[in-house]
Amino acid sequence: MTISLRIDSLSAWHDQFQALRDVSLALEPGQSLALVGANGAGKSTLLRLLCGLVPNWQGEITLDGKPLARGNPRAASSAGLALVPEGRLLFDSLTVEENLLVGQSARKGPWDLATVYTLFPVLAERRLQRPSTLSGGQQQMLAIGRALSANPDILLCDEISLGLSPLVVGEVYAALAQVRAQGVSLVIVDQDVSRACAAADQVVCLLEGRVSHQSAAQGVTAAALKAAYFGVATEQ
Amino acid sequence: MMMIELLFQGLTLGGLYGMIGVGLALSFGILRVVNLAQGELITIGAFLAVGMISLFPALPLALVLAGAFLGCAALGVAMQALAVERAMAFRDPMVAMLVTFGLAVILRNALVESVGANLRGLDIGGLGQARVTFGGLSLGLLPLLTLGIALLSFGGLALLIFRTRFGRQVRALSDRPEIAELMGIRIRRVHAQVAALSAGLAALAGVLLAMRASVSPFSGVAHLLIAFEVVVLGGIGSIRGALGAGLLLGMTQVVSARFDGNAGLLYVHLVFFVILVLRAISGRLS
Amino acid sequence: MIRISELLVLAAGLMAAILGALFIDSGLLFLLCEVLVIFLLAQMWNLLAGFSGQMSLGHQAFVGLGAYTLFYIANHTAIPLWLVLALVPCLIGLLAIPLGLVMFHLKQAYFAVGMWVVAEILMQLTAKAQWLGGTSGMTLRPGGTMLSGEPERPAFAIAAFGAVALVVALRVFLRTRLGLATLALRENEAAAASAGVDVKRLHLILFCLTAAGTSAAGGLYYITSLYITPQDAFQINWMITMMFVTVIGGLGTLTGPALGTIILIGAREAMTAAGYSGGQYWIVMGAAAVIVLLLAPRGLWPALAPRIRAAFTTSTKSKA
Ligand SMILES: Nc1ncnc2c1ncn2[C@@H]1O[C@H](COP(=O)(O)OP(=O)(O)OP(=O)(O)O)[C@@H](O)[C@H]1O
Ligand SMILES: [Mg+2]
Repeated sequence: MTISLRIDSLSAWHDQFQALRDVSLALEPGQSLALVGANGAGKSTLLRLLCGLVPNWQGEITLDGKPLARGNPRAASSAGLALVPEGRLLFDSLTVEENLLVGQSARKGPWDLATVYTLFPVLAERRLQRPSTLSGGQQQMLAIGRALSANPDILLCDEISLGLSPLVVGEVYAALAQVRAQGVSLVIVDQDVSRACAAADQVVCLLEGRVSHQSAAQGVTAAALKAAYFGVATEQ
Repeated sequence: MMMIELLFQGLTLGGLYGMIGVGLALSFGILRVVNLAQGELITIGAFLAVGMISLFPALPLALVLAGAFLGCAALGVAMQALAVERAMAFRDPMVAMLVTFGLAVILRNALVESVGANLRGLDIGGLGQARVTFGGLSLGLLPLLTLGIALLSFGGLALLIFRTRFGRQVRALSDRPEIAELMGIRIRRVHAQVAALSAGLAALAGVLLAMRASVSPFSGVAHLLIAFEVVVLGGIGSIRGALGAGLLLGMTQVVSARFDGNAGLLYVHLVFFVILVLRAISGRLS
Repeated sequence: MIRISELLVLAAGLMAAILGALFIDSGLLFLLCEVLVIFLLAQMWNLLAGFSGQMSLGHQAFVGLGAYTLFYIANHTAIPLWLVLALVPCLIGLLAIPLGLVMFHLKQAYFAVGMWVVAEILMQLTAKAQWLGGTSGMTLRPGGTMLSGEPERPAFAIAAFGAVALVVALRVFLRTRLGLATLALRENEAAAASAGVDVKRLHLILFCLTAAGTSAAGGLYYITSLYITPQDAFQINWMITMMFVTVIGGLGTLTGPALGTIILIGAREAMTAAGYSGGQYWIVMGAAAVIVLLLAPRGLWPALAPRIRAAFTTSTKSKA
């Protein structure tokens, strides 16, 4: 099952600070989105907001036409959203396998321990270890596996390649391609614009909380987005 | 011979102290609130047992323990849901702690109002005097039973926390509450369950302490302080640490009582304070 | 620095203290002394918990220490009683320095309960000290003779002036550099630290000041009762009273503890007159504290003051 996501004139605040201004975008069922932008542009805020972790917002968000509950992570989870958070934020008192088990929800779907282990065989080898003993790449895989265990329709991946070696980044993206092939929509936040765009249908660039660029993702590179990314006028 | 008897007593008491510490640590570790009413829950557990036995003198010990556990667990859930959970919503963690202090004062005085201020013992019939002999070593049946129940509680708690779905949720919640909620964990419900479990453990320890020596409605403060000392010395997240710290304090009390009959908990508190000073000097303890 | 209005308040306080001590009847003076002592104690606890964010559950230790130190020095030396009362806070304030240095290794909740353990230790050590009378305690006999006259009269004068002076001093203090740092500490410890406030030193200073103030108030209280035991002087009810007064009245405000004292003592006198027991009184106060904490976590005064002010300004406006 796949669902659509619509965001209309969304603004969001952290206390007094406005982190998102009038953001609108739409994601058709099964489509994937690359979400890019400089540091502090509001990418994480948007993903966390969708998951119910930022309660203070205005605007309209619908999943398959149904409005998203405000500040309710459980509702977001059962509506089909799952987050691979920036910094992974794994449960360190739980083993690898327990992290995956905790991620499971009441939603039905293809992802269980066995399929996650097929996607990331290294996790099966380490199933009884603590996440803190894993390498950065393995931790990122565990974070993805934990989010997948909820059988989401839309997987939100924040800073997916941060701190990983190029080789490992390749592995992670290969796994994401398999996830996408299963019909899961991806929203990928990454500093590596070309890579994120190559894995998506559509690209949205944020600049100081606003949408500064929106287009098909095919072939978009960092150089092409320079103005939207940094906000400098690059007139030629 | 006397030495062994003393060691054995210290072991028993230490097990109980570990148990009351673990109850406090459990709620502190998950809820991030030091429950200052924990001592009162221990005492109320003991008085529930006293009440049950005076109503039904033939009630088996297992049922008495179960009754006290359930009674205190219900009280723990009620306090959590009605007051502490709401107080936890405020940004300042002091508020929740002050609320539990207020609850402790209410419970203590409610207990005095309803049962009077006198010391009460738990009448357990012949069990108090019975002894068993192992290869020439004669030990009291009651302390043996107490130690057994304490160890069973520890084992049961460890199984619950490390082997069940509930335990997984509890640990996840204590690691990262925000992400745990994202995983669909019902935070308030887990909080209430933890409060129930912690209060239930307090009640079990309370009943066992009352079988060992009499209790008064004012015993709560002493119980709370011991539980706290066990938590500080043993560390929050560690069931084994709690057991170790409990043993140290239990031994201290039993040995000091031998040399100085009316010292009460003085030496226990002193040992704790001295360790604190040593840690402060050596700069450990962050 | 100190303002003219504050000097006037001090002078008025002094007059009231002297006149009250001379003319109020002795029975009422005892009650007033107690009220003032409770106000002073609560204000000390408030300074530590409400302003510097360090909650202690063991400040009854300083009540007991202050009272015992006072009794011991007064009974065994020829130093005049009221001079001893001035000495006590200095001694206890100094004693609080090493204690604070050790206890500050415990943070937040750990510090709070750790202080409680300290109070228990002191109570039990005092009960064991035969030279302090053990569990049966001591009678106040300054210089070896029974106290003559009516100690509640000078005690009232000191407590009344002390209460006024304390509030004025705190107002002045909160305007000084150290005071502003304290306020910054209350708002945000990390921010205060990054703004160059030496948080640890400030905590220690406030800890010692409140220890000294608490011991003086404790000493004053036991002068009027002439008799002291460990069970009484170190009792946790001191702590409960300080906390409830502050929490109900208003944490981190100067007026809050005054309001809280009036509420607590008022309720106690009313409930005692109506035949309720001490236990029932504490149940009601505990419930009041919990309810106030849940509805207005900073206490009644901060919750009510803006409304009172608003009502006042609208009524004066409508008159005009
Ligand atoms: N919890 C918070 N409280 C206050 N401000 C916040 C909070 N989280 C984020 N911000 C602010 O909101 C803005 C957007 O932050 P956000 O984390 O969404 O950016 P980002 O695009 O994810 O940046 P990065 O590339 O650094 O991850 C930043 O200016 C940040 O300082
Ligand atoms: Mg981010």
